[in-house]
Amino acid sequence: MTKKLILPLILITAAGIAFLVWSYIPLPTDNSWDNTDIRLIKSLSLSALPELAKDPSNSVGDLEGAAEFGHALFFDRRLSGNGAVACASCHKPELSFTDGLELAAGTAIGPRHTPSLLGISYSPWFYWDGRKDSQWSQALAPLEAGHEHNTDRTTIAQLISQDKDYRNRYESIFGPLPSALPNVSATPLGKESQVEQWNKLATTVQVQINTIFTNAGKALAAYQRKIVPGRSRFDDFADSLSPASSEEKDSILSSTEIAGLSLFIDKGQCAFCHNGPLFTNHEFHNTGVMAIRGELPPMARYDGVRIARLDPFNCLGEYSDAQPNECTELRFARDENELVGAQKTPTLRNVSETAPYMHGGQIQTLNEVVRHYNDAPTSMLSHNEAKPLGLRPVEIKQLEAFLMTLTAPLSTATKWLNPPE
Amino acid sequence: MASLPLNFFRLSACLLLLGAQAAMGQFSGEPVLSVQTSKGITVDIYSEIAPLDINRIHSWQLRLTDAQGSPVSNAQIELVGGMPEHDHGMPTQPQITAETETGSYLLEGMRFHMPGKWLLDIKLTYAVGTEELIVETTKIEFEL
Repeated sequence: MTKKLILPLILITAAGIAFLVWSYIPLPTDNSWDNTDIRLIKSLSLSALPELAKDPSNSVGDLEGAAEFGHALFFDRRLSGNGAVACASCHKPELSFTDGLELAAGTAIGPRHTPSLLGISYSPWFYWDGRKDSQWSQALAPLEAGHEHNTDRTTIAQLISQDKDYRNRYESIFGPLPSALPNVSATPLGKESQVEQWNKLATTVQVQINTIFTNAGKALAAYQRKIVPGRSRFDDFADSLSPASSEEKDSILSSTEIAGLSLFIDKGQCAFCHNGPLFTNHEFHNTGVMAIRGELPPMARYDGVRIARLDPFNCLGEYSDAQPNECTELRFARDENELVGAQKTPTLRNVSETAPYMHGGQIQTLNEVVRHYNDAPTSMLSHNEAKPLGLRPVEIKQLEAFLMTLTAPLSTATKWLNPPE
Repeated sequence: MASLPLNFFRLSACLLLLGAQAAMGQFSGEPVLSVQTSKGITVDIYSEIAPLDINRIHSWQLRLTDAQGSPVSNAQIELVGGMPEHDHGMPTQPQITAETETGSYLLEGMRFHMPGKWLLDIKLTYAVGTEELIVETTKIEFEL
């Protein structure tokens, strides 16, 4: 009887050992990248990041004075209904301008996870669903959202007009403010009483208020254009690469990290969407992320592009500084069914500092994120563009190790990372 | 003071000339892609960005010539692109917005968002010689 058991026992043990070896023992690192691989890796380096192009819809986007005004506004808690919430409350500089929470907490808990702002000025679209087509127009929406700043454009125009410092800054950039503004809480997007107040205002007054409001957005955008990632160990590694430089590269990244990079550009399929020096194509993809607890899966970009087209503060609107022919992203944006459930690809710069992940902060750790892509679950709505990867557990660890090499102090000057003095 | 308007017009003319030169320079050099349809129409594609690159919105110029080398004017052109390996299309909906010269068409709103294999379907509707309209679709595949 015991003799009969020996063979199966040996086979089971051997199979167990083989499984453990397959799961956890890394394959020897293959340092022999071909020229296509090297070109792809170098395209991810910050050295390949072009100068930030002008935003034609924001004529003050690159004015230092506008950035300083926006800097003050970004940290000012008076820009909220309860006097406790500033932009910096959720976009915390020390967390790469995120908040560490699943869902943003302004004056109430919001419906989405706070995205990082690193290099986001390079994106043609804003919000997870791309409902805004400029950074200045994006900056306006949280101010009036009930769960974020919960204030209104008329109150903000009043604040800018009455605060002596703001008044001076504003007028030096945008010209004279009106001599008087209505002292009411009024907006076309607020509660019933605020909408009623808004509708009572003369059109000329509404235009004056909208102008001050959008100029505040343009100053906030000018400030946020300063927020750019700094060079990480990965960038030094990528820049050192040439077909004959295998010794140098070993000293900059570990063999585990290099193996992770190989997976990132190849088997992991990450670089299809997380491409370019900011590790994002600024586009929208359905990757089968589960819906936020208690909510239906969102239509995401399918709705977002439609909202952007109707937005009075878009590139083609009367408050934009662009000529219509400069609004190419908005004019030629795609809106088809494959955008159902598609959320924006986030940057991976400083990704180790921006947990949790995804549009609802549904995934807590980078390891779980990689496992999500490895499984590529069926999407709750429409189809998951990603396919299962078949990564071994050790490869998941290697990818995670590589992602950690993308973190570095920002190249933004320190003064912009703290409240203005 | 009387000479101001004249200076103004001179300046405008100068700017117009510069603008025209810039527009011509935009699509100079070699075509980035080229294809011949089954009925012998050559489609030469010139790009504002050469070589082609990802994540930058830009314009193309499509120059259509027939088998005799004559430009094909008044054509209708529709372009749809995508990545067959990823089962998705382009991030934009490019459109022909003008026939800038005889047989040369401005295509605005081109942007590619992923490296890899791209496939474009170009549908042409045109008349050559006769009144009869010809409709044909041709494909171009390329790697980014």
